[in-house]
Amino acid sequence: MNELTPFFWEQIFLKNMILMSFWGCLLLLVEGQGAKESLIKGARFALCIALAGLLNGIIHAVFVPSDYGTSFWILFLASLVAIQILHTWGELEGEWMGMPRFVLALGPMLGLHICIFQNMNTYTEVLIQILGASTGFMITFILVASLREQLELAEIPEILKGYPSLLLSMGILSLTLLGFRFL
Amino acid sequence: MTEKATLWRDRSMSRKTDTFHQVTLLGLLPLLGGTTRLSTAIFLVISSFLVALMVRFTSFLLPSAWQKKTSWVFTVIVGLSISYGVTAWVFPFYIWGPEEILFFVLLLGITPLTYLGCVEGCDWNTFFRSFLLFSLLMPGIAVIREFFGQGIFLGISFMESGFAPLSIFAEPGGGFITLGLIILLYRFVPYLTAKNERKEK
Repeated sequence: MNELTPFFWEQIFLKNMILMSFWGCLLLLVEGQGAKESLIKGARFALCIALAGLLNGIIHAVFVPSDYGTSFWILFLASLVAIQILHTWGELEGEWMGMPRFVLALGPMLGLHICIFQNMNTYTEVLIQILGASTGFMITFILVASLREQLELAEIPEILKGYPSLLLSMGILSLTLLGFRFL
Repeated sequence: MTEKATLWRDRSMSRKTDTFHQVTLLGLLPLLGGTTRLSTAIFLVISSFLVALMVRFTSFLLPSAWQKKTSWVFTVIVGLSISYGVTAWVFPFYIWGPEEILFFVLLLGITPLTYLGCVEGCDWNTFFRSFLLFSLLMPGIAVIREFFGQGIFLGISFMESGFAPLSIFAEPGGGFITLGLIILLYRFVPYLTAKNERKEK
C-alpha cells in the first residue's frame, strides 16, 4: 500500500469535514434534504470544494510564494469562483435566515483550505488531501441526508423529531468514525 | 418523501423567529468545535461578539446603493479581514491554551452568526439577545464537555486519581450529542405543557 493511501482514508474518516471538523455541518443541515436530492447536490458541492482547492493550489504553485496572508485571500477568491459555479448549477439560490446561502458554502471551502495550507504539505499530499476531503464530504452529505429522511419517517416522539434526533445520530456516526484510528 | 422533506423545511421556516434555534444554527461551528474547553469557549464568545460588533458597524458605513448580494460579498470580506486581524492580534497574547483557538477565531469570519447584525431588520435588541444566548450556550456546552469528557473544570481536576472520564464528550461526537441534548431540554417544557393541554381537552 502506497504511503499516501492512509492519508487519503484519514481525510474521509478521521478528518471528515462534516462529522469531525464541523466545517460543512451547517451546509448539510440546511441543504441536505432527502437521499435522492442529495446525491446530485452532494456531488456538486464536493466537486466545487475540490475545484476551489485545485484552483488555489495552481495559483499558489505558479504565481504566488507561500505567504500566509496572501494565501488566505487566494483561498477566498477561489471559494468565490467555486460558489459562482454552484450558482450556475442552480445551487445556493435565495436566502436563509436573512442572509444569502453562499455564506454557508464558505465554511467547508475555506475551513478545509486554511487547514491544508497551515500544514504546508507537499503538492502531492495537498492533492490527496483535497480529493479525500471532498470525497468524505460527499459520502457524509448523502449519508446524513438519508438519515434525516429516515428520522422524519420514523415513529419517534414528536419532541425528538428534527434537529435533536439528527444531532444525536450525527454524534453516534462521528463516534463510529473514531474506530478508524488505526489508519 | 417529498411531503416529508417539505414538512422539515416548513418546520425550519417556522423556527425562523425562534432565537434559540437561530443562534444554535448560525453559531453551529463554534458551538461544536470550540467547546472542548471552557477557557476556549469564553475566549471565543468574547472574540465573536467583538468581530460581530465591528462587522455591524462597518455595514452601517456601506452606501445605500450597495444592497443585497453586492454588499454581502463586501460584508463577508470585511468579516474575514476582521477575524484575520483579531487572530493576528490575539496570537502573541494567547499563551495559556491550545492553539486550536486561533484557528476557530479565524473561522469566525465564515460563521453566519458573525453576520447576524447585517441582516435586514435585525435591531440592536435582537443582536444583543442573540449574543447573550450564545454567550450562555457556549460555556454551558463547554462545562458539560470539559467536566464529563476530561474530568476537569477550568483546568482543575475534581476527580479522584484513577477516575476514567467519559471521553466521548471530549471527542467531536460529544459536541453533537451535547448540543442535541440541550435542544431537547429546551423543547421539553413546551412539549410537556402541550401534552398536558391535549390531555385536558
